[in-house]
Amino acid sequence: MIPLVALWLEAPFLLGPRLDFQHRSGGPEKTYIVETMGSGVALLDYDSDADLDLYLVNAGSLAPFAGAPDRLFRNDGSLGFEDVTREAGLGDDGFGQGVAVGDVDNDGDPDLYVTSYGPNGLYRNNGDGTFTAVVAGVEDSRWSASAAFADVDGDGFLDLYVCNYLDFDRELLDRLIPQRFCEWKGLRVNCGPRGFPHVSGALFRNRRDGTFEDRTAAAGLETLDAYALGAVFSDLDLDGHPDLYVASDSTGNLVFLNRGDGTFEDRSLLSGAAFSHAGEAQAGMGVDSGDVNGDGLPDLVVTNFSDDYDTLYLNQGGLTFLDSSDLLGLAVPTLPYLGWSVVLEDFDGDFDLDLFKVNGHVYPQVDGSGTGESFRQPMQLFWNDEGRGFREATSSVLAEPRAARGASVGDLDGDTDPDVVVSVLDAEPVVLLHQGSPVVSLSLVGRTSNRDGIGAKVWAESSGRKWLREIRRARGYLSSGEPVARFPEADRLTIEWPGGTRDELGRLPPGFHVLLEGEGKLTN
Amino acid sequence: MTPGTILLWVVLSQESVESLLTRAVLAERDGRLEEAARSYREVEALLPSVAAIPFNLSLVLVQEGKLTEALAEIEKAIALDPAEAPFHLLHGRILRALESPERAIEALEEAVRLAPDSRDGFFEIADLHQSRRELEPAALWLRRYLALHPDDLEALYFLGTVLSYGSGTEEARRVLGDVVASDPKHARAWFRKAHVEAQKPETMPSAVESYRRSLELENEKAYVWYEYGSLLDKLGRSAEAIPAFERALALDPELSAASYALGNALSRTGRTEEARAHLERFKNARDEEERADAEAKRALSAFARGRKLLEENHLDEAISAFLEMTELNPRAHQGYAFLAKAHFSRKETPVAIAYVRRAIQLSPGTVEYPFLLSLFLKDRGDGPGALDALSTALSLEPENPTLHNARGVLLEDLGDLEGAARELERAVALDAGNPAYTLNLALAYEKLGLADKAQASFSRYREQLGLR
Repeated sequence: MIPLVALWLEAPFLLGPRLDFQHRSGGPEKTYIVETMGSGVALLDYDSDADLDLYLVNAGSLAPFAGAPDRLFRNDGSLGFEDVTREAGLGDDGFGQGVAVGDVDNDGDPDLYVTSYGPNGLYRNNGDGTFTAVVAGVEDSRWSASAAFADVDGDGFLDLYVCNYLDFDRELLDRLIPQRFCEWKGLRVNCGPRGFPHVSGALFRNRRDGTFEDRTAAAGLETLDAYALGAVFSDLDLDGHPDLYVASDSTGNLVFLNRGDGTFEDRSLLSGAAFSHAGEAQAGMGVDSGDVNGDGLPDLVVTNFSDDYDTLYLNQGGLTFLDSSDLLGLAVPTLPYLGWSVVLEDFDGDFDLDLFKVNGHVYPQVDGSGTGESFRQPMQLFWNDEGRGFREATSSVLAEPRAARGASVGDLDGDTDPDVVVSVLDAEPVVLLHQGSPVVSLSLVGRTSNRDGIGAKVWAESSGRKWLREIRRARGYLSSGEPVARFPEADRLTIEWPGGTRDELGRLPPGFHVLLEGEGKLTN
Repeated sequence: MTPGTILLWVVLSQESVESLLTRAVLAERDGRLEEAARSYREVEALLPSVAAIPFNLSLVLVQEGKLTEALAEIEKAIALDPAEAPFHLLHGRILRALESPERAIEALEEAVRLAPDSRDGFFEIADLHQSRRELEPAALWLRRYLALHPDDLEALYFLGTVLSYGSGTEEARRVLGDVVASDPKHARAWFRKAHVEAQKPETMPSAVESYRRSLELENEKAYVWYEYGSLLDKLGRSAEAIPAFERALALDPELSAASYALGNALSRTGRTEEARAHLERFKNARDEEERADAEAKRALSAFARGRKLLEENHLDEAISAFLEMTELNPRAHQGYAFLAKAHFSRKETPVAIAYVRRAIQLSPGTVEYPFLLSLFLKDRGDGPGALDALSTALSLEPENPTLHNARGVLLEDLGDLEGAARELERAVALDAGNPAYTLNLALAYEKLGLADKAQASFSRYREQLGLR
């Protein structure tokens, strides 16, 4: 018999197929901060054949016209991935950073938004396996990081929030700091983010005619004191409107309360989720939201720099949070690592949300420096012990050190459970196939709400307890995943759509299920 | 050994010496340090072979903040009597203050070797290692001391503190537990134990009790109240945390972490308006810190710009950049030193002297600055002044061949050929491969009429240049 403790500690992943994709981002020394941030990954069914395809962002070189093109890989349904970038009309060759996926025109197929150090691009899915680059008013030319779609004004169409990191002017930097390096722990490393001018994030409202308008200032989202990297929309106060949480590097994180009319109130300081419990600004990179302790309220997790812990903010209601990282056992094991993408997902099929995160340092110079740190670092998986705390699970697959950055969750192999794709700086991506039991995988089709039901809340009731899932694609860092709710078999499911419709479902067997808004029953 | 006991050893054969010593001791006791130093110097001139006098003078100079002078005096004392542990202890402390940690450790180890029963040397070495985040050697020295004195609770407490900063928190907790078991009134040990316990969920309940015990014994420490409140808050006991935060802020209104914690605890309990006031205070303090931080960064940027301009010989622009640096950070000694260099390049030696003196004032342990001063003074024709400056530099780095060479050349200019030869011989001994030192020595020998030695040095010089 296998001892229980061994089962408890073993991470449930196997390495999946290798992809013919090499990420590149500047030189090996990482002279400039922009070269060290990595790029994201998206899982989307772009050809509507019921399996998840892969979009991998690439950066390239900072030299003019030396970008490396992004790639789209089509899943043949049996984990064979074919590069279809050219046929699909894709291959953005800017200095790519992140990717957000959303059905912006509610036509039933997912569109792509790619962020860059340089102009961002929107690629409309034509519904025939091809995309068209469109000029739609979202071509933010600042250095952008993560982006997220959500219907912030409740009109049934997805709006877009874009994190802009900082104002990086290479020529100015070379003039101001001729030696081109800053000191960190006695090492000569790239400079930033502190010292660079701030830039605001941007909110683009969907005009419902294929174009967007910049509503940042009007919506109350103009900020000039953050280095924004990660963003997640989540109904943090359960009032039916998606609130916005932004992870910010070296500055306070941002918490915006959605008033319900497409405008926001800055509640960062009052929320308790801007800083660590000690009032320290951390280096917010990736972020996710989910009900960690089963109290029905979405909590927040943010990854940070090494020598600092990843922060878990437990939702206390009324849009207030408590940094509970050490109480839940997350502080000590995350302290040595520099974290990026993070996702809260039920990997062991017991209803509560486990935590998966990827790590990697920003300074290659740490290798062999005697600081005790390394550029490549292991990924980490934490089992959730019914909301009482996290325990780290290790396996050789995750423990191999990598300079990982993005991570995206979705069912790649059609067995309902969540697989993970990780983007790695200057390397191939990693596909992690989950080896679990089948679960209920519920997708939503909106009618008055947006087509993918982004922002819908799904409640599962089992043995007298209620568990919450929110439907979203954008989470973690620079990445976008599958918009489904996954549960083990539950007694009852209640679905609250963003438009206010409510559907209820009885016990569902494990497998794929699709719910049409307002029907109260499943469709194929 | 205290200065007083050392003084008892002094044989007071002359009345003038006795009265001078009395005056020095009284002046020191009354805080008239300048007068004390002057009196000790007079005694030193009368009793040049009594080690206790430069030792006491060094102590006075330390109190005056004249560390380089204090260093020279304690080194005199050690040269006279190398077997006195307190001399080496003071030597180590001065070197540490002058930011020469390796030399400080050497001196302190000598103090420990001479007086293994005294904990001062052990503690000083452990503290020095700890301040450099070298926790293992810090713990090692404390364990060495504890092996000799297992009942010394302060040493045990110190060890617990050092361990609490590293990864051995379990051991830290055990050691600190031993301290409070032996002395239940050790408030600091209760606090440190609580601090360790508060880091892990399984020991958090014990931490609450440890904080409480610490506060029962000492209730005027703002940060203890803050940490206690913080733990209660994390455990969901916000109603109890709020008064703890309020107490912390009453004791220290500048404790911004407490303002933040209190603001958030109030916000969670629905007292939003009160919360806003505390969070506003926190935000203002943070903004002020960030402003200072940004200015420091701008100062560094101006410094880098100035250095590049100086390298390119754009003297006016370089001076502007260094002035910008010193305006943004008036304590940036590097800025003053580079202002001095730039003005010296413009042949404005008096201005250069003024700037380098400011750099020395701000960073008395930087050997480059008195060396620069000696160059500037020599340029002004102030040979004795230049010699003094070089002596100061040499007291900081006695084994620096550049300084010995410079001193040799200067002595030669001043006509002290024998002194010059001695210094240059030292420079060559320290760096035998440097042809400039060899040539200078050859020239000095030649002037002294030491033809054979001069010839040998010239010959070695040619070899070094590959001319043979």
